[in-house]
Formats: sequence, C-alpha cells, structure tokens
Amino acid sequence: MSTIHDDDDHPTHEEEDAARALADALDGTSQRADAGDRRAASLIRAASGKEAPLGDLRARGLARAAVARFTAIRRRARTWRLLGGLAVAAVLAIAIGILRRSPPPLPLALCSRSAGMLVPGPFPPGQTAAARLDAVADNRLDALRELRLRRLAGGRR
Amino acid sequence: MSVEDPVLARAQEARLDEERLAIERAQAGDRGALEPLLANHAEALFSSVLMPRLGDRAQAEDILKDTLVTAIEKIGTFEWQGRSFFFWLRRIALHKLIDAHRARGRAERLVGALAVEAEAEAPPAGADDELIALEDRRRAQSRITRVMRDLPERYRRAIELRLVEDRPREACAEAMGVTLGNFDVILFRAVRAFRKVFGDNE
Repeated sequence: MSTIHDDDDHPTHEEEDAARALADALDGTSQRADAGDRRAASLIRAASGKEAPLGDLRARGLARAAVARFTAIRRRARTWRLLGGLAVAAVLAIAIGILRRSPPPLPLALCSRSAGMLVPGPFPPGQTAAARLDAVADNRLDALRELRLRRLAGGRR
Repeated sequence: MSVEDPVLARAQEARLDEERLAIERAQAGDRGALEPLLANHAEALFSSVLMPRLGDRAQAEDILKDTLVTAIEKIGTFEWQGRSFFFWLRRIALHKLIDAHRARGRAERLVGALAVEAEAEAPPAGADDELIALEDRRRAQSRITRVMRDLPERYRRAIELRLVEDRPREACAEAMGVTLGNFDVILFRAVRAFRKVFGDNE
C-alpha cells in the first residue's frame, strides 16, 4: 500500500527551481541541487549499475594511499611507543637515583654515643657496677633534657 | 554459486590461490603484498557495496579508503575460508557505513537495514569476488525496489525511466506524456518521496 500520495498541486517557484537544479545535476551540468536529492538519485542509479565506476587508476591510487597511511600510522605508533619507553626509563632512573642517594647524617644529638668514655676502665676498686650504670643513665637524661630544651628554643640540633 | 565452466572454474581457483598467497605474505609482515589485492577489490566495494547504499561519491571514497586501511591493520585476524577476501572487506565497509550513517544521524531504520546486510550469511567456499559483489548489488537493488513499491505509480515510473533506465529527460517526458518542465517536477517530487520512505531525511 502506498504511504506517499501523488502530489498533483501546481508547483511553487521554489519547487520548480529545485526540480530544475536536480535535472541539471543529473545531467552533470550543475551541482546546485540539494545534496540529499543528489545522493538519493545517485543511490538509485548505483543500485542499477548506472553510476560511473571508480576507475582502475583511482582504485590503485586508493590502495596505494591505504598502504602508505597504514605505514605512517605504524611508524607513528612505534615512535610513540619508543618515546613512552624512554619516558618510563627516565622516570625509573630518577627514582632509583633518589632511592640510592645516601641519606644526610643524623643530627649529633640523635647519634648514639658510646658509654665507654663515661666509665673508662680500669674501674676504681670502690666503684660498683650500679654506680657505673647510674653515671651512664644520668648522662643520657642530661642529654635528653638538653635536646628537649633546644627543641623548645627552636634549635635544630 | 559454483562455476559450471571448467575453464572459468580453474581461473577462479587460480585467482583465489593468488589471494590466499598475498594474504599469507601480508600476515607474515609484508603488508605491501595487499596493495594489488585491495586495488582489485576497490571497484566492487565502491560500485556494489558503498555507492548503492550511500549515493555520495566523495563520502563513498572516504569510507572505501578507511575500509582498506582497516583491512591492512586487521589482516592478522583474517582467517582464510576458501572464499574471496572480498566478503571480509565488504563486511568492514558496511560497518564503516553504519558508523557514518549513525554519525550523521540518519534514520535508525536505515542503519538497522544495513546492520542486517552486514551480518548476511557468508557465501559458500569457492565464491569469488564478482559473485559476491553481484549478490550484494542485488541486495541493495531489492531494498530500493521495496522502497519504490511504496511510491505512487507516477513517481515510480519517473524514477525508473530517468534513474534506473538512464533515459534522457526528453525521452522520459515523452514516455510519460508530460512537458519537460512537468517531468522535472514529477521526478523531483518522486526523489523527495523516495528519500522519505528510504529513511534519508538528512
């Protein structure tokens, strides 16, 4: 069943102009017809095998262009992969360099100190082991107090 | 779709062998081996697959170029099944065409019809490009015939005379018993009606 009605109305000037433009486009004398109308006409013609072929020369040109474009795409992809690899390697090198760099020396106040100087031998006969431990503990407490005071005063060491 | 003539059958077999070898070389890394093969199939892709579904030469050439590039890119995934490589190319082209139609906001009905065609049953082993292309054009033609059936008789006649039979305007006007100017208007209205039914309202 037809869904489109045959329009028998007298054409408007615009319609006559558009019809003329399509007729000229089909004759190949003008391209001013509506693109959709031209496309529909070409589509019908092509399905009936009436549209002009692509041509051997153009076909070969398109195949050559496709191979060239593929090669360019692949080359670009390789370049990007190479650049990406180099960037990753650079980041890794920097990270490893940072990790391997020796840490700065500890502040003197935080360094461990030998207790040997506090209780140098040979021990006096009257000095007990408890007295030596007390001497070391007193010294460490003094150092801790000093460190806290320095921190309170804004000192760095 | 087998060829009865033994000479033609041998020629077809030789052509398929040539295709298979070129594809094997391409899959082994020599993508340039595909160039003559693609050049051989470009015409049929253009005339039988793209133009009857698109109607725009410039756009058809663009899609054809994209199709060929995609084919080169994806050749590693191609599996030889004893039939022409053309069927595989045709499927790529139809999917590109669907994408182009979607991007341009064409009617879903049109896109849906193309999707059905893209997934059409594969031709039997041994089918060569000409037979596949012929079948493809027949499909496109029958789609257009279906649309034409929905047009009023006078519109259908105008389209048949001018676009299908490719007769000169004057001969068409005479055959329809109208003046040249009237024939132009009838054909114009017929093309507009065709577009409406076809789903091309861009």
